[in-house]
Amino acid sequence: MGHIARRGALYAGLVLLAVASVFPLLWAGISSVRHDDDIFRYTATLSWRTLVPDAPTLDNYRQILLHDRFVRFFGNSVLVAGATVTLGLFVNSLAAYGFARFEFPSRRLLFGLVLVTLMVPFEVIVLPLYLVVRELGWLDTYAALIIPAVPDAFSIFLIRQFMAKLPRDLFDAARVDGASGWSLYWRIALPSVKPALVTASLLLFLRQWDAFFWPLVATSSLELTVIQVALTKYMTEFVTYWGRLLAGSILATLPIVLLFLVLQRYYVQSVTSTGLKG
Amino acid sequence: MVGLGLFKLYPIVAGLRLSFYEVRLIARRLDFIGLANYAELIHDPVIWKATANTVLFNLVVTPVQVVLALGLAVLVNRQLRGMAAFRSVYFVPAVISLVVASIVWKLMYAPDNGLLNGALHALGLPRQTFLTSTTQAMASVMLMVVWKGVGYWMVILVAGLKEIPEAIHEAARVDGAGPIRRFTAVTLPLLTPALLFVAVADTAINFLLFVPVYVMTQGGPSDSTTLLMFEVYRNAFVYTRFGYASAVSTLLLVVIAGAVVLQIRFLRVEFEY
Repeated sequence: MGHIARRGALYAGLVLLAVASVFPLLWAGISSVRHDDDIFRYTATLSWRTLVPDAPTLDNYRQILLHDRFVRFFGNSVLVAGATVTLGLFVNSLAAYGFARFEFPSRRLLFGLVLVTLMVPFEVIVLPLYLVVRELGWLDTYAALIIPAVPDAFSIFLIRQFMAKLPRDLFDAARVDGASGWSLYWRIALPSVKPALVTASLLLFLRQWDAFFWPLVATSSLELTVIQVALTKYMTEFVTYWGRLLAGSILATLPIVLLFLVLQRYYVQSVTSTGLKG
Repeated sequence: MVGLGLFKLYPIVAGLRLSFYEVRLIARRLDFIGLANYAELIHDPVIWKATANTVLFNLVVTPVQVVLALGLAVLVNRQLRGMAAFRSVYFVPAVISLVVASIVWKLMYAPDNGLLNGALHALGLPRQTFLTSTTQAMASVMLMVVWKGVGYWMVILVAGLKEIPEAIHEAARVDGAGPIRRFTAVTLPLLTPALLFVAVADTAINFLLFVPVYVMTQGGPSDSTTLLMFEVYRNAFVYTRFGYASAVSTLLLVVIAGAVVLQIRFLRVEFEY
């Protein structure tokens, strides 16, 4: 009996924590299908109405998708994150290949420098980076949003670790079969480190999708506004359109939740592999 | 490599250098002014306030996050039906963006008719002003950040727990160690590397926090929630004083370095056998 009671208490605790974890998002989702006037009507005094919209409506979604420039902002984020992943995979895996396969002067020093940049958070370099990008004439362009995020120490590190473990025989055999320098990289090395590539892509994509500080300062025109920045503008400029704000927030969250569901294994791996360095 | 150098390495050095200059963006000119930025820093009450806030924020949020993450990690590491689902659910706050989290919480914190006030009311407690009050705003931001971060660190600690061989737990059990003794004598010492990593990484992240302040309070009311990173932003991009902002950024780096050194000392002494 005591055993069952204890198990029951444990599950009750687990459920309570689960509610605390998802409730804010759940409420945002529910409120996003309400009219603006209704969103705060049932929060002052809680009742079952708080969680069940009396007249669910997709007006907020319709409004931001058809009449605001939300699609543009969303598209900007897709473009920026997509381009960063594509370029980043290529550049970083090539660098990783170099570090893993070739002996060259000052390799250790250069790899050490890569690792140094790994320890330095983005926030620390943001001011000088802004001046660099300004000198390049990239302010308020897609290049400002994409290019600085492409070279990534963590991706290099991760992919290198995978490539360094590939057996030398693999490359020797390929060379006997007539593969040359480039195809050794493209046909042999890359396909053999797919898990690392997926993890690196996921990290690059999420980092760009969630990026806020840099897009906020590096771009100013509406055409280049990415989704996270757009949301905060919704908040300050359309103060009373809570429904649209929440609908936009839900739409901004959908891609990363989908990614999380599909790539959960890699997702957890990306979190823990950042942890394992320590 | 060139990209990494240009976009990551060069700025580290350049940031420090900038703090000794007056930066004139329009004229594209740097005027060397020595330590003048730092001299001004010392007499700037807002920076003092931001420094105090930043330190307080970390003294509260980081330990709370680490302890809660450890608790959750131990909890979800138990072999129980449905535990994988709970683990995923606890990770949800870590998946969503900080901007979205800040927006949703800001709405939940609405004075008078917000959801959290509704909950307080339902429990028979008086309604609170949360983000609009100088005394409650900081705690409100802290609560959101704790909620947002715990699941992430939980996942790392779960990975750490999985590394501990079951045989050691078994041996301790055979030796008659109860669950609490097993936790303090086996789990905790063997988890120290993971805990130390979580503590240090969490510290770095929390010291550099910007989004919640920007979205929820803009540092207010009357600077009660401003953090150093927000002052870096405000000085550089609102007041366009890059040199001064770089000095603030350098100050922030010094504070972080100090905190990390203290932590490593403290945690090593605490757990090393």
